[in-house]
Amino acid sequence: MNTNPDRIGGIQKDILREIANIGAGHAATALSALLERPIEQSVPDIVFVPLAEIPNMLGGADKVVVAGLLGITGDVFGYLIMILDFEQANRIISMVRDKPIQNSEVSGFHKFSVMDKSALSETVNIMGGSYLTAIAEFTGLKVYPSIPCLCMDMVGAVLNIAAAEAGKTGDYAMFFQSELFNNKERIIGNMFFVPDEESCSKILESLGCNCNE
Amino acid sequence: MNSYAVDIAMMKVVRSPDQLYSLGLGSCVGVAIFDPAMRIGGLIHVLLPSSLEFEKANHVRTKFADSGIHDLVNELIKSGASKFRLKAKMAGGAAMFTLQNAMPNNMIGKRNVVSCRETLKNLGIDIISQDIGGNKGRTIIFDVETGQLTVRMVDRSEKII
Repeated sequence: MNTNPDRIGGIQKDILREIANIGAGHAATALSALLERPIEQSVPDIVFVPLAEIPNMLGGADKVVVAGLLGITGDVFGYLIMILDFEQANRIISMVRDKPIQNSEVSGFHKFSVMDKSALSETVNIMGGSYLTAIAEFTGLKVYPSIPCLCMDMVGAVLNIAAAEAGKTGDYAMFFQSELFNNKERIIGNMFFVPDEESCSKILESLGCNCNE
Repeated sequence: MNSYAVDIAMMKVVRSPDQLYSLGLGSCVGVAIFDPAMRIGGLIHVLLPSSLEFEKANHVRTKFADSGIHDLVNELIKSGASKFRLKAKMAGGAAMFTLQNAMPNNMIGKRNVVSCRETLKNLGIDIISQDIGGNKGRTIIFDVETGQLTVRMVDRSEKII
């Protein structure tokens, strides 16, 4: 299978979108339990982004974001990445730690306390774990998440890891993109599941879809 | 004066007074090569270390350190630069996330840097300054007129190498 967009058929895309739907649905449920409030998810999308465009896809390569990442090993290899702007990160911290929202500013990174960062990491861990467990159960594949990693930096730099992975097999990256909302407010703006090419074929094959057709 | 963006897996050659920049380098490496006398310079935004690992696929050559730097040097010579005067500067190659060893991409920044260095050495081009490694992203701006490479970090601190 090739992750160039013209090589992925309609049915394959539908199946992958359903995978993203199931994963994000479970992540939403986990987040809802963690924050004790209703969480809705958007219709997930499978997006194909040319490598050069990846850093610009979330509002400019040098925009500063908070990123949480889980590495995935087992039958599936890849990454689960959550990208938050500072407002979203602060809102999650305030919900998890039950305290007022801090003033957010671009250089606000250093104002996150150790406990704040820990709360964010744990949110990434719980949601990512739910997302990946759902995929594992649905496909019967082994999907092991790493410990969560947090990083606050330019979005382009943060997404390099996904670009490098995708770049090994083609000139496009395939992202499973989902958004989570509470009362129409974006809680998690961008959640990406980025499997490598081989894993994507394995996921499709596990569901009886032949990738070479 | 014009300023051109050099995105992932791209390269560009310009003459003074134009500038080149790459935003948000993580594990990617920006390699600036220039001829100070002719005031011609180029920048390449390297994503992966070696094209030899991926022979089968039909890849863009500028995605890789080895093939990309060769292409950039050829392009510079074609534009009138002298191969013997070429100097290089590079920045990037960070490890943004502290992942376990099981994830090979964690080392990609380091491997990019090693491959850039080897390729430049084989071409006989000296690296006169560099800002590499660490765990922070970089934005770089290359001024062909002066040969200055400005490196800006996320906290807006800046250095010129």
